[in-house]
Amino acid sequence: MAAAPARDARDRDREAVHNRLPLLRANAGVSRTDLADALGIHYQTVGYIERGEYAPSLHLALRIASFFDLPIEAVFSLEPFGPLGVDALTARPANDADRR
Amino acid sequence: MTRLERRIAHYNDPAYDSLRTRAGRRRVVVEGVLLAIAVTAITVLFTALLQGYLNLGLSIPASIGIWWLWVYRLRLSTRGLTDLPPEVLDERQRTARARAFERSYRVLVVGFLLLPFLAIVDGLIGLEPIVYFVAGLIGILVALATPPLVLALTEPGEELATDDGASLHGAR
Repeated sequence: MAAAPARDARDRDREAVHNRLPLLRANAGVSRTDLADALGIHYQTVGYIERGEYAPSLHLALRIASFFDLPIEAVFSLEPFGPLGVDALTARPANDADRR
Repeated sequence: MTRLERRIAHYNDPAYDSLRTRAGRRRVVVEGVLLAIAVTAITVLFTALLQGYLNLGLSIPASIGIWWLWVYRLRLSTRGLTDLPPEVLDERQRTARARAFERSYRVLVVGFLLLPFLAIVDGLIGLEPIVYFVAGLIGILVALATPPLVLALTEPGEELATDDGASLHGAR
């Protein structure tokens, strides 16, 4: 039985699904509880997904993406998301750029 | 509020959050090991000191009471995932529940395969019937405790809900 957690960890590494959920939540000012209530799941499940300890079903992943009004690949990825670069941090809002 | 809703609310009571972290769950498991030793000691002591029915009347309720309290704490530490019906759980909880039952089945099969060895030992040294009786009762409680025990040992622990806001903690 002791080998089970180690095997699970290996499976998780191999089948890791990366996500931007914490960032999107922070951006939208949504708590884990709010998101969980909107999706009909337990708030701890949101935490497990954010930490990469649980890969949601396609159905749940699509609902999460839909909640943030984003395509699924903007929220979940098989590859790690890159860090926010200087370009992203210094970018002006689109409408601000249009005005200039 | 229905009985099921009360159970769900009780299992999700934040007052028990400290039992739900990895360290908290390990602590409950260690308590179980210590209780197993204590229950065995009580049974042996009562068998040595007391006669027949008095022994039955004291050691069995004591053993069941102690074990029941531990199973209750174990279920609180795992939010009762193995106790609640799957319809009231979300997809991650249902997956964890199913995995715990699958692993428990294997643990229990191995456990029951050991029973013939107990019979052989009995043939060699002659165990008291009372020991069989108590062992049977403990076996039932162990069977009840195995799914949440497996869940507590194998599933990742929870984070304490100190910050449930739009925290960036755990960002990937």
